[in-house]
Amino acid sequence: MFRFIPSIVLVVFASLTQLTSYAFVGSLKPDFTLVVLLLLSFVYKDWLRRATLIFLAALILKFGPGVEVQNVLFIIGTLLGIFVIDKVPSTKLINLILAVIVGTLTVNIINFEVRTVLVETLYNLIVALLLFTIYRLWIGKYEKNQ
Amino acid sequence: MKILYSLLIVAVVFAFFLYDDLISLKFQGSALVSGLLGNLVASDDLKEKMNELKEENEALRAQISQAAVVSTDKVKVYSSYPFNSRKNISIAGGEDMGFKKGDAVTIENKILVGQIVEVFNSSSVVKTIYDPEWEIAVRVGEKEIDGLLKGGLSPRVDLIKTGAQIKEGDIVLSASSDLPYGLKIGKIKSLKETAGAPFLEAEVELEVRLNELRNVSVYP
Repeated sequence: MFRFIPSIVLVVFASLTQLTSYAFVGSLKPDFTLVVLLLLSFVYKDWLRRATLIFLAALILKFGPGVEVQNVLFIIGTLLGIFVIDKVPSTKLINLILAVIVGTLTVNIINFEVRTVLVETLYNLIVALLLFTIYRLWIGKYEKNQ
Repeated sequence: MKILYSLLIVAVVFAFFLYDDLISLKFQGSALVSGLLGNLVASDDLKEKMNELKEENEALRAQISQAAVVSTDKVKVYSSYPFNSRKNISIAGGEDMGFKKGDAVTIENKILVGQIVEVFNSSSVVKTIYDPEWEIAVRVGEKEIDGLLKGGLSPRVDLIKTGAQIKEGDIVLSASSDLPYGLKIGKIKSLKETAGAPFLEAEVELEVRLNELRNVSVYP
């Protein structure tokens, strides 16, 4: 639980940041929330915690009333990404890269503009690699203390 | 512990359906994060302070010349759409300020930003001219040539008659029936002519930058 509360704070912060104009890199926004959720799926293996974080993020990212298609796609994209992380028999890094690609493609599936998707995927991969490095350092320190 | 998580999920899903009441609160949260990030990014902070000083300077000058010139942009921009498929923004005013669907959102009542598409109690959602689904009638240049503006990351004016006298740098103005006439949208960046085609296509450089928007006006 002590680890989960900071995770909730992290997801809320990533989602709120994604709503601000500071998230723009040029004219596009990287999907910080998707990347954070995918990375947290390395930490939490039970689906109850994962679902809590995904729904919380989806709630914050929802921009209008009713059920938004883009929001549903975000949930599906994150779930597919986590599925890739769990099922692909490769290293964590490769799985994360594949998960980010699958997640980004799913989120953009209805408004598929090749340039936008390519640039967004690139941004997401850069964010994912940065956060993955921090995660590895943290895990290394954690294991050393054990 | 599982009961706690289940309750949390139920609460979040419940909030999902009571969303309208929560939306303004969430937009305020993102504005708070925006403020925090703004303090971290020194250059933007400086730019904002410079703008404040500039406005103060203009107001003082106006007072001297006994003409009150104050910025009309009073409505704060809360947040922008989190995904890249749409280019909407939320603003700090809704039914409480008398805003309604279709109202034009501008900068200083001169430059078009977009149009209100959703109104809540104390916030509204604005579809901007960067939205790929945005299409309005426009007039281009001194000769007021008709065209159709299509939004998106590379906005363009379509349906310009071949042979029309327009050139790069010509100003694009709003000419749609549901918007005030003559709001500035941008200028022509380049022209594309296809041999044999009845219409010209022009790329437009928009006047507004979404990531720099802080305050707007609503034109009823």
